[in-house]
Amino acid sequence: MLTNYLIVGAILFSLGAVGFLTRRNMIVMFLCAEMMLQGVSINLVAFGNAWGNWHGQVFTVYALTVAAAEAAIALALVLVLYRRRGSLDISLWQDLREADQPPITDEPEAAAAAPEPHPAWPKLPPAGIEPMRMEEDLAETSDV
Amino acid sequence: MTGLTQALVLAVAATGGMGVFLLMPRGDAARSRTGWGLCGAALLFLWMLWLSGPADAARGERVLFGLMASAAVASAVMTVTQTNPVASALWFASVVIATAGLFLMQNAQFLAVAIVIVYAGAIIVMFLFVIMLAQQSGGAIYDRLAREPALAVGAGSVLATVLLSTALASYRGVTPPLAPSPAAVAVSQTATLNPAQDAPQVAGLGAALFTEHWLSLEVAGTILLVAMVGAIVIAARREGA
Repeated sequence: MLTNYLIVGAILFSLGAVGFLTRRNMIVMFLCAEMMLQGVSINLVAFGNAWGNWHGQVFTVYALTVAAAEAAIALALVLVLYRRRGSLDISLWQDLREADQPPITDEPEAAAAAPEPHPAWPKLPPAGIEPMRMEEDLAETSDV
Repeated sequence: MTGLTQALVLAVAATGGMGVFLLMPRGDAARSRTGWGLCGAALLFLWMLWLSGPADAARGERVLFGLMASAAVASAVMTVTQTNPVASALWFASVVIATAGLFLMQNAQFLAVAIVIVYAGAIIVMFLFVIMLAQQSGGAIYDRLAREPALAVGAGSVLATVLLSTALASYRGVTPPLAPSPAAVAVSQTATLNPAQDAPQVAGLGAALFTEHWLSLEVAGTILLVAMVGAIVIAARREGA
């Protein structure tokens, strides 16, 4: 049974790595990093159980602590990065790349083939006559 | 490691990788039906890989393990391939619950409860972040277009193949001692606390934490304090900024 748990841990780690490499939303990247930690935790607990001591679980408690600390720091960083660029897209930070790397641009046909989906507004029946409004009311409320 | 095991590892990595690649968001609305089929085939190969091992556990335990592990892997695939970050966070919660089940089957009751509590809090914070920062629900271009999915999935498949091959070659057929060896007892004073035999298991983990690993426990507390202060300092709005 030990190898079966190791298989699950390895697959969770690999899927998290794939998600971290290919997704562009910073929150999803963070979730994928947490998933890699889950895979490692499964490995540690499985080894501790198979060898009959507590060290694996103690290591996992420590990893959980570090994961919580990482979550706090990472979300604070995501907040700061969002304030700077106004978006969660990690591609907006590609000016931090190595100096000899070419910049990444979205494929124009892919971007054109992906129009913004129209939001599904609810259909409401017309609710009577729009009330008359005075001009000074409009002037007062326009800058809210 | 037998040839059948090696072939199953390669089959899992290849079909799973291709399935995940086809399911990755790439702008169009409908997701590939071939991708779902390939992911199902990868899960089937995974079951064959699990069942090809030595039957050193009760049948019920093996079935329960298979269900929970399948739930964990399938939820992980959904987490990676969702276009909506809220859905992604929900599928990650499913991964956490399945992992807690796997922990419970391995005499780690405290950890099973702890990860649910810790990650449930993390998921709620994630919801808050998504609601605050990304008002357009799943409509952003960066959510619907993965960056270089072929290269990433290829790297992930190679990584999975290497990890699975190493784990299987090293530990399949090895029967670890469920009781600690005398050498381990001589090295560690808490190695005699056997998770599989001691009745009060949380007490055993607590004893191991507070006797042998007390220094790492103190360091862990310090790390949490430093992270808390650091998060406040990083995220605080400065005057004039």
